[in-house]
Amino acid sequence: VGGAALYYALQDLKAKIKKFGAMLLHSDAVTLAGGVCTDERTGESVPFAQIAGAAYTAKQLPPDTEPGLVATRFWEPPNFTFPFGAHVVVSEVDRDTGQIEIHRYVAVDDCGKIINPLLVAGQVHGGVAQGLGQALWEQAIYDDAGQLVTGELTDYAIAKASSMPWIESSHTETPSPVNPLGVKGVGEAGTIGCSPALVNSVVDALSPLGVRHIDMPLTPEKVWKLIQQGGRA
Amino acid sequence: MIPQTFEYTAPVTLSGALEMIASGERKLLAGGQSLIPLMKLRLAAPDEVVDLGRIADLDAIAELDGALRIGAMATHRAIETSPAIRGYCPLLAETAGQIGDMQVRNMGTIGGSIAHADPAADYPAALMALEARVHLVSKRGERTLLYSDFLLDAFTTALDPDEMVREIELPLEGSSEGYRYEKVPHPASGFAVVGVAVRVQARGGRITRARIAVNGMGPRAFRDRGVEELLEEGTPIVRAVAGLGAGQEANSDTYASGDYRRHLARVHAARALETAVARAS
Repeated sequence: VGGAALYYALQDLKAKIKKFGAMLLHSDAVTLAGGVCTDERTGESVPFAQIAGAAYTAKQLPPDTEPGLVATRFWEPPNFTFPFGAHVVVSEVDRDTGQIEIHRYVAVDDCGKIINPLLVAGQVHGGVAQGLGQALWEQAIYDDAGQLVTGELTDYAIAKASSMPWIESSHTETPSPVNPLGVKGVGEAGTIGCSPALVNSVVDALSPLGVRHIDMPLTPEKVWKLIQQGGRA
Repeated sequence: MIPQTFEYTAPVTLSGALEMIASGERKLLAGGQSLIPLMKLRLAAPDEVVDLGRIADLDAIAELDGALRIGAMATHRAIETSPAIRGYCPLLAETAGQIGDMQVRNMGTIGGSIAHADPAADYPAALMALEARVHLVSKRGERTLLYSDFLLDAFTTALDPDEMVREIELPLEGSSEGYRYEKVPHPASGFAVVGVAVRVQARGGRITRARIAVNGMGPRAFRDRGVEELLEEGTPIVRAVAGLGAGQEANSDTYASGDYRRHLARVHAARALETAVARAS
């Protein structure tokens, strides 16, 4: 939503910058690129700084134009965007201890047009870390007196860099039709994909014992007990 | 997360430090990887803290008269990387390398750790398997205890209030010995849910001498002489460890029950022994 509003506001600003550029170049056909306005016919150009100066000193203004280079746009999307993806986990369960080891983690997400690939990778990695925390470790445990006993990071386990698997992340790009940039959200892709993929892989590993479901987090003792009981929770 | 106000002193000589602890209840700071968090949570609120970090030579590591001598203020990192310890007592170096993380190992000390006597600490099993001795010192004089007599219970040692740990003494491991410290770290704290330290001598894959000790499982680390004897009699490893820690109390907490801890001790004892036998041959 914010991105599309910004997009429209920038279109307004670009038009306004070109108006000032045309005025300064005494031209009626200018292009805007690389921080300069260029007269299409003469090739003469005027830099952005000079245009901004003209827009704010306002000694002379293009017809029907206010001083300043500010644009405001409100935008309401006609529909939601629908990012999608698939996460695949290959895991192994230690029969003797119930400890889970992740051998491979593959994430393919579609968040539409990718503007900043580094940011998108960071969102996927961070989301997977949160998903792993939920699936394997994180637990708010209260004692009988209502006291939170996992209230410190010495008791409440979250994903650390050393406990993360290598994430093989890639993307398909299906532009969203409901905004001008074709973008979709990616912030929760990892959190949504990771936990069920991991739990399903462990359930699959234990399925010969008849296991069909395990409550998160999959702590080693819980998994070990299931194995001991031949899958009967 | 802010401790109660306290006095801080940092003597530069051992006698200066002993003088201070002889004249009243004071808490010794030996790295601060347990004491400082406890003070920040206000689970400990000492009026006076005496920092041992400025006393020269209290962190020395040296081989002397057929024994390895480790100063109380030697850091876990120094123990992990010391060529003397890696050469003569590799079990202790391997154990130190599994403590906490690099930041903790750079600050925490062996003397501080064994005096604190956290049941989930990593040193006790190795020190019992190594038959370590602890040199204690006070204004009144010195005494030496076997580590297994020094450690009494969770957070409880044989230290008198005016005494401190000066040195840990280890007999040298034979070069033909195999060893292993196997640890299950808590996913949040890194402390030992269970840790098993073993040393073996073996001929042709058959164990002739065994030492096995466990920490993390119960309130006090223990050595299991019964299992050692079974192994020395030639009992297969998995059968020999089946009764490991049978008479020992096991801790339960939010992460692992006592029964699971006992089970983990046996599983990891078997794995540790297999590694140790392979290293011995």
